[in-house]
Amino acid sequence: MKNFDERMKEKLNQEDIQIPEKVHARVEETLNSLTEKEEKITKKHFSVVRRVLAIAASLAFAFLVLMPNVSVTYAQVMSNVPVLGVIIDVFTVRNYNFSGDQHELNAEVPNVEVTDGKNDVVLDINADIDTFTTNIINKFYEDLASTEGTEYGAVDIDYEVVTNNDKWFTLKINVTETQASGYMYAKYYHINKETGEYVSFTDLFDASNYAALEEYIVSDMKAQMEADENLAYFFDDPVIGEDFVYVTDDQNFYFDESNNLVMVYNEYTVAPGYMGMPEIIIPVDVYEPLMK
Amino acid sequence: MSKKEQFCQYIRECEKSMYILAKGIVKNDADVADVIQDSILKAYTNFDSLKDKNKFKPWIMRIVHNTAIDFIKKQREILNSEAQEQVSMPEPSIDKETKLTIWEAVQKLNFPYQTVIILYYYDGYSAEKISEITSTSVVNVRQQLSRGRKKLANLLNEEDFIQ
Repeated sequence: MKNFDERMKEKLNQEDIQIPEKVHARVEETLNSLTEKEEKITKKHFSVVRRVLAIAASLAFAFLVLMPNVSVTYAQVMSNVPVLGVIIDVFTVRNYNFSGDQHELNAEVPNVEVTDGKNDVVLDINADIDTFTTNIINKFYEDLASTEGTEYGAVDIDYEVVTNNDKWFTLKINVTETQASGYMYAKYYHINKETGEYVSFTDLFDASNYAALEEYIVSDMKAQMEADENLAYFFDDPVIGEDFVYVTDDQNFYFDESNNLVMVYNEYTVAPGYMGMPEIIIPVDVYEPLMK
Repeated sequence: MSKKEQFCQYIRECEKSMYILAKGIVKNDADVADVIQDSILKAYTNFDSLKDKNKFKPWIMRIVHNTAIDFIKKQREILNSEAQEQVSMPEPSIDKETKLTIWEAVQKLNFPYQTVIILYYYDGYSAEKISEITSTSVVNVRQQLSRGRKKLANLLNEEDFIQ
């Protein structure tokens, strides 16, 4: 028996794939529609960007002030979330917008405020949101300066209240960073409205129970893959699958309206990129016995 | 040579590879034409950002791959919202007596196997380069290649291909 690859090469040499005329015609039509004008506009804009970036490199601190198309607005767009006992307000405290030839930044940074509750709780959350988003935004400008605006880059940050019931308030910060391809990730903040406390994953689950949660997660991934061949997770990867950790101390999660525990994974962490940000739902009867 | 002329020359050199990759993912020629057109327009808009023009082919292949995947996702959303029912890809099945060409067999593979097989055998890319084009880990690409080969061998139904 010949080697598979050798046999493939032999056969491929005997086959000639022809591009259908209608596809070829569309390619030519598209190429003919391109204009040189775009080149001139782009080059002109590039020279402006380069000059501005040269200044920005030496005056890093003044960067935001110097760029005419950067706007940082301080908004008070309030999303009032009335709850029993504790009232939680979510504000857009800052908007960042930048638009260049190759770069886009759109960021909405929220703050959380609790009235009739323990405001100390949200000070920590707001400080963390500030650090988290500022780091991303600073990196955007650093990349812009280091590439002199010649490589495409975009950052989008927004937020949403994913759960708001009698017990839980959960705020999600969504981030999408795009260069050659996109990368989506998120960070969640939870307030237990019954106690008014900020809650992290380690407050709810002891590390000794992570294995039991992982067992359920992997079985669910398996079931999903068996039901749909287009789905893929890394758990059965012969090399990295066994070493994968599916539950961590800083686990992204939330409780949905049916009180199921939803484990959220950033893009590329447990599955190929086309799967997006996978969510695994763990029913109450599975996770509740494992809680602290 | 102007930018447009240079760009058109690159596209014509890669046209067949672009067609094969897009066809493997979206299947239908009318959709392939849409995907390729969209990819060309995206590439031209960002052509200046490609500093090393020697890397044009993997760059355009990545754009075609991502555009085709986006196309499939959108199509799936439309189908799901209109039909309110699960649309599943049919399992490739074939009469044992039927002899397929390699290309016919490749087109019967499901995503992502057809993509890695096309990039590996038709374009000669390494697993590392395929991982860059498809934004997948190298380990995963190798696994997909291995599974893709087995599926292809079954479809080709030839002794030489049985591993």
